Amino acid sequence: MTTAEYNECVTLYADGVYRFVLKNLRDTDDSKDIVQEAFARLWERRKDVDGSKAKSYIFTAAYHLIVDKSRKIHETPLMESHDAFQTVFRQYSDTKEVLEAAVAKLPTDQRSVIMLRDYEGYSYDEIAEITGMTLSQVKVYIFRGRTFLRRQLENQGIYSANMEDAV
Amino acid sequence: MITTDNYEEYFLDYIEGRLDENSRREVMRFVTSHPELRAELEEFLDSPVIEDDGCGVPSGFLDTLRHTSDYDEPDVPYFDRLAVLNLEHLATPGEQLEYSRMKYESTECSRIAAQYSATVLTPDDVEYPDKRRLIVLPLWRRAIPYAAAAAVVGLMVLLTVGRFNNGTVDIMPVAMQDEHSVHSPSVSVAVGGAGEETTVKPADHQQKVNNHRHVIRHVVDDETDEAVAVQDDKADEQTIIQVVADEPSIIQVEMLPFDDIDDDGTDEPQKKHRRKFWFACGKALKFVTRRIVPDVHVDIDHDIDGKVSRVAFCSQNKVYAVERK
Repeated sequence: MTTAEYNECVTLYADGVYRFVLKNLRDTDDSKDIVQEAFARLWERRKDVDGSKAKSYIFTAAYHLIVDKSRKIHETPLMESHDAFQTVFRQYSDTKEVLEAAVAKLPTDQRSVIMLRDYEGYSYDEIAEITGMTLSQVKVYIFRGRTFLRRQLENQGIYSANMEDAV
Repeated sequence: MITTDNYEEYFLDYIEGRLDENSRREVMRFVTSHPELRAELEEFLDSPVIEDDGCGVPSGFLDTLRHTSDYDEPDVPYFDRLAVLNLEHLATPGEQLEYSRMKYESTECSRIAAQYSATVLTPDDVEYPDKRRLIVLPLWRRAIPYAAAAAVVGLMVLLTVGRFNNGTVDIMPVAMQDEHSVHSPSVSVAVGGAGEETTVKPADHQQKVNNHRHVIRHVVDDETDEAVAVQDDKADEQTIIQVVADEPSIIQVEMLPFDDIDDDGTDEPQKKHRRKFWFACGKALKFVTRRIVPDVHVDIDHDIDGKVSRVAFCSQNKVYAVERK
């Protein structure tokens, strides 16, 4: 990878990686640090990384940094009690806000695979490569994640009253 | 055009007889080129086709696809799986059909399907704020800020030197003065304004045998026995006047920070301060040092604020004076 290709990667992927990290950690300073670290690793390994694999490399580095960071800050438990979660959700009225709050409640693994899938459009195989999971794990995490999100929407009454319009 | 993504619709229209002749032939060509889907079409064809009641979808057709008779209570976990598979584009054609059928027949499933559709995250506009810092610039572009900083520093130094050199002191030969000067074989110092001569003795008159240098470390008033200190308006420091006479012909004048003089007046002023101030005093004093002035006499004049306004060096038949403008 040349310097020009590296700079191209910064231009193309920095925003996406930052969004991916920020949505996971929800801390701008930590997110900036991780993005910087991910690109620093890419720069250090630029001679070994092919330009076509650069995006995957950056997201892989960012993902592992997120996991490390999450372990350090004692991540929120997988599922909070139903009542507590509903209390949190009552302040939201918009579907997007409800969904974002629900995504924030997902475990890091599930949240990451869903983000890589939806935000970046990665295939299951690519997600498995980035996260180091097996293909089956990716499928299971996405299924569990979507089911969890759907149930949070259900709990908040999203698409219940206005069912006719939604469908 | 029939593809593997939309063939179910064509199959349904085909068995419901809603396709024209061309479309029917297209379906047959598609089945011929996709033999793996032929069985699926034949399975549809084996199902009893019910007459179209004119409402678009045959009124009884969907019943033929039911596997159980209790669809009023849909199998939600099963539909969850179908919905996710469909959402993730992982459903087989059969699963897609089942998903569509359940969603159509059950309000509950339809609502769940809508909720699953809503779980797809849409990327919002997030911009990494420090992107420019990640860009690796060529070496010559990276050097630009440093070069600019160096240029600024250099400019400031030039301005500072210019400020100190620009008219702060001057040296000029003046008329012979005898009456206020005290001669001595080595060095004499006189402090005071015109008409109020105060004779000052060398407080620490040190003779270095090797090079015959006479040094007056600081100037002390006879009456108060204190070092003569003045406030230099340019350096903004308290200073004293030090006169160094290099036997027999070189004289140097330095203005030193007053703080460098201990109470007993014997310590050597710190070199860095001396150099600093020497530098600040600039070339006018250097000019003095190049003069041949044996048997030196020094007159120091103060202005109304007590600042040194004039330093005169008397040597034989000439007087050199440094005056503050």
